[in-house]
Amino acid sequence: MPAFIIQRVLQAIVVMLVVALVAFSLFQYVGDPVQLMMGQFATPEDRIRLTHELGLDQPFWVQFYHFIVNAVHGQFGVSLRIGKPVSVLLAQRIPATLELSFCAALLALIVGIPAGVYAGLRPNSWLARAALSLSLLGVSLPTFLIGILLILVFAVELGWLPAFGRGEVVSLGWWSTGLLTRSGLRSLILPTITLGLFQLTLIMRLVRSEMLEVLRTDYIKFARARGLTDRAVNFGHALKNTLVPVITITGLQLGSIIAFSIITEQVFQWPGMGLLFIQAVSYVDIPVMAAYLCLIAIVFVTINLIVDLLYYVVDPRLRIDRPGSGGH
Amino acid sequence: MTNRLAAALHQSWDSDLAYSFRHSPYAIVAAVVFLLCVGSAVFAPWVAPHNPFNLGLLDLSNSLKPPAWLPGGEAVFPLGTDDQGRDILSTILFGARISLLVGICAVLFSMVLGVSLGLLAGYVGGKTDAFIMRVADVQLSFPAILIALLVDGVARALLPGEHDSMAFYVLVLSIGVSGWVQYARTVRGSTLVEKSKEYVQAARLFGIHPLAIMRRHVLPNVLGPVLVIATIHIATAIITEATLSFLGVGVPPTEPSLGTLIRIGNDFLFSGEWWVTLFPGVALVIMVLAINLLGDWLRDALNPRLRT
Amino acid sequence: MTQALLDVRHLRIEFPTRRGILTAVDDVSFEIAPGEVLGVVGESGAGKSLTGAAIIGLLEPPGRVAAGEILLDGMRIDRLSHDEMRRIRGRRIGAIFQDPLASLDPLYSIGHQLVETIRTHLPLSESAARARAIDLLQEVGIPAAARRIGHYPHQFSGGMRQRVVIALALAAQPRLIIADEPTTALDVSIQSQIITLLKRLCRDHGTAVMLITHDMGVIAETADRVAVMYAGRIVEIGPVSAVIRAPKHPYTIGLMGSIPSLVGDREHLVQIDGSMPRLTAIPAGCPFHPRCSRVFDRCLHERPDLIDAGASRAACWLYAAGDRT
Repeated sequence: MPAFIIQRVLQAIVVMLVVALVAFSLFQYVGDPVQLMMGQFATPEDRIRLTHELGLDQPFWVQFYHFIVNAVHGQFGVSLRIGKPVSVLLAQRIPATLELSFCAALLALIVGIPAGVYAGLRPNSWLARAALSLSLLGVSLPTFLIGILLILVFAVELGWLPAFGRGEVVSLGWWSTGLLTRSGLRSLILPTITLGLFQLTLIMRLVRSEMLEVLRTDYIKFARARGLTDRAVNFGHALKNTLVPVITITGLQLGSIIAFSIITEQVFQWPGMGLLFIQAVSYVDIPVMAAYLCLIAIVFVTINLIVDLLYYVVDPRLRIDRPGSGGH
Repeated sequence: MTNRLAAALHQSWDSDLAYSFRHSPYAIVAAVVFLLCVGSAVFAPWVAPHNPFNLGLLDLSNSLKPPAWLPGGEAVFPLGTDDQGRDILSTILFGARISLLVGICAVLFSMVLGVSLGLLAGYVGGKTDAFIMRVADVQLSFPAILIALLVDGVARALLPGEHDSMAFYVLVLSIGVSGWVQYARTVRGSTLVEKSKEYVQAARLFGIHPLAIMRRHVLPNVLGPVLVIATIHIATAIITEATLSFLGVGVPPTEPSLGTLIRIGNDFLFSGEWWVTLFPGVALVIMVLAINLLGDWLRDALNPRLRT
Repeated sequence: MTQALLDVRHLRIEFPTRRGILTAVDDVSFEIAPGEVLGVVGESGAGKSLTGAAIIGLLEPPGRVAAGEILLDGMRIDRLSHDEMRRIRGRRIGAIFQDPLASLDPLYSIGHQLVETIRTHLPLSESAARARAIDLLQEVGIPAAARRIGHYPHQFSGGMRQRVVIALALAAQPRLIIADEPTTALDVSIQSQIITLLKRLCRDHGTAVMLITHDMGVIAETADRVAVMYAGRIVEIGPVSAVIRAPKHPYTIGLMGSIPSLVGDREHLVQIDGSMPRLTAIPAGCPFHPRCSRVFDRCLHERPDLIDAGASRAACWLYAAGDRT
């Protein structure tokens, strides 16, 4: 067991280092690092001092090491566009993105999994067929278009829900939440649906097809041959076997929600990390890009690690891998 | 010669694949729609009622006219005009052209890259295989859009100022790079299976060049699944391009794709000129939906386990 | 005469396909007496497994029972509701399939799967069911049953797994077991152990067995009677000793002649020309006639039913009363 986890953790660290390398290269070779760190108003003396401090006269790997040390401390320099330290900007924006992503993920799971299970158990019912057709539409609609359509219908035409911003937020320490105010909750609705719809569709289709596969296996046939109740067969055996591969893929998908939030935040002008990143790419604001990259990498690597661990917990085949002793 | 062709056509008409196609209304409709899209996009310069990119022809007094069936609309601009006086229908046709072009080129790039790496990994094995698959695993843990954004961002940084003219190539590169893994994995799997078969081992003993072996034995077996992946990938690629353009880091407004058009139109959503963004959006959805339907049908038709 | 446990009458199984309706099993009739072992032997595609599936009610769509009756203890079971059929499965009719690893849910311990089966059919408490499960495991020869009951399927070797499968099939004490190729996926050295086990258990519990296989050796060792199937029909049926030593139908004769023998001399193995017809192209008259060395005119036009021929019955015009032109 430990061997499995250690291998995964090592892989995670390698990935992080690679990403850090890419981010560092961005810093080094694209644009002027000194300027990036200090902003535009540095005096020549400051520049010389910082150049020496940064060790820009040092070999590549030494600089890389410094970069990592800085990164671990959250130092990514100053944003070219806004002029504030990147870490401060990110900290401001994280709650918005995380809240939105969390709600969207919840929506996708709560609706997607039961829908998929139903469609797998009763594939020929009209409900299942309708859901499948709609899901095809869902996969064909780009996220931003969903957002635009929702805005068109619910904000412009009907005027029921706000079309941009987060509404009123309440500060809890350094976190700001929109979940405690009415306007905050109302502002959350359209973006959540926009962000979650694609994932919902994917999860539903995945669960459905896994379920259909599992229902064809020999052990389900044998379970039926033993006269087990429908409930035991469908939910005890089929569902559990379906969920095992679904967990991995779902975990990865949920990670991608955070990436897709970039789009949703752009459509709804939601003040999160994603919007910050997009503005940075347009402006070629390197420090923000590099920081976002590293942050995202941490998030993904962590999610992957958790998913791997979950897999390990759920599937007994991974836990004990030798056949037991005892004759034939 | 024509007899053989006729016989081949007759045989493929009668095959399982063609049968499945003929009996699936979705596939037929999807194929028709898709061909229409491709046709009108390819022949856009001749089919479109106006040329929206000839700056000399534009008249600002035509700007923001509603679709023909609404008050204020004119029949000569059936779907209305945008803020520059360009006919929406024409911009859609030209935009679809760009969207399709980027999508197909990106998929071709992805396919060539992925299939080559998959063949390499599967055939050579050992450390090459391990390395390629590690890279694939790592890349898979990041969503494609992020990778595309990253490549795009880096390219922008490396080519300041020239970005607009290079936008097409950068897009193809970034979308292509983000999608090679699925091909590589499938091809690698098939290669591994074929490699262990006796006739391949015999061929190796005879000294036949590995490339020839891969071309004649492995590739034909892999074609089916790769085709299914590619079809669905075209849809994904088109959506990715549209998303990138919508975010402002894709195709520039000088030669807009459908995504760029939607972005331009988004600004007019609140002032009530909804048609500028909606019609390009609908066109995009129809095109992608048709491709997805075809891909779904193809996948089910080629799946031996679902055959009745 | 005691009533037959299982009575299959004129069973016909059809598959609607785009090329028309395929008849996979055509007018098959046989009986199984309580406690008897009936072997059903034939090549792949002869319809053996389908017949077994139909009896236990697990025929997969689009296949369906198009005609005939299946009676268990004199009661029709081919037209029962889903729930009624479910209650019969496991409790009155059990089944064993070919691949023991695929037959067991990998996510649950074998103890859990046993207890679940027992408690579905018998009103026992959790601990009583568990005790019974341990007894079953011991009966099928799993050493250290009390310790291994919490283990998962992948922790057992192939032969052990099949023993577990047998234990599961017998858990609710059914009176008939349909064993579909139970030893085909096992090592040769283990095959005979499993067969012996099956035979002993069924004798001890008085369970009848429908043993489906393509391996004549297994039949010779285990079965009381044997039915030979060809192209969806039974071509010969009778006591094992009669069918093996004095086969009557030309196909069975060919089958017996093609088995290598360690005793006696056999100069060369018999080979039957041609192969079993595909379901889309079953010949008129007797389906075996294109390959038969003793074919005559009647075989081409009329399809024979099972006709008495000594100790067994064969579907062959050679044994019809009257002239043989």
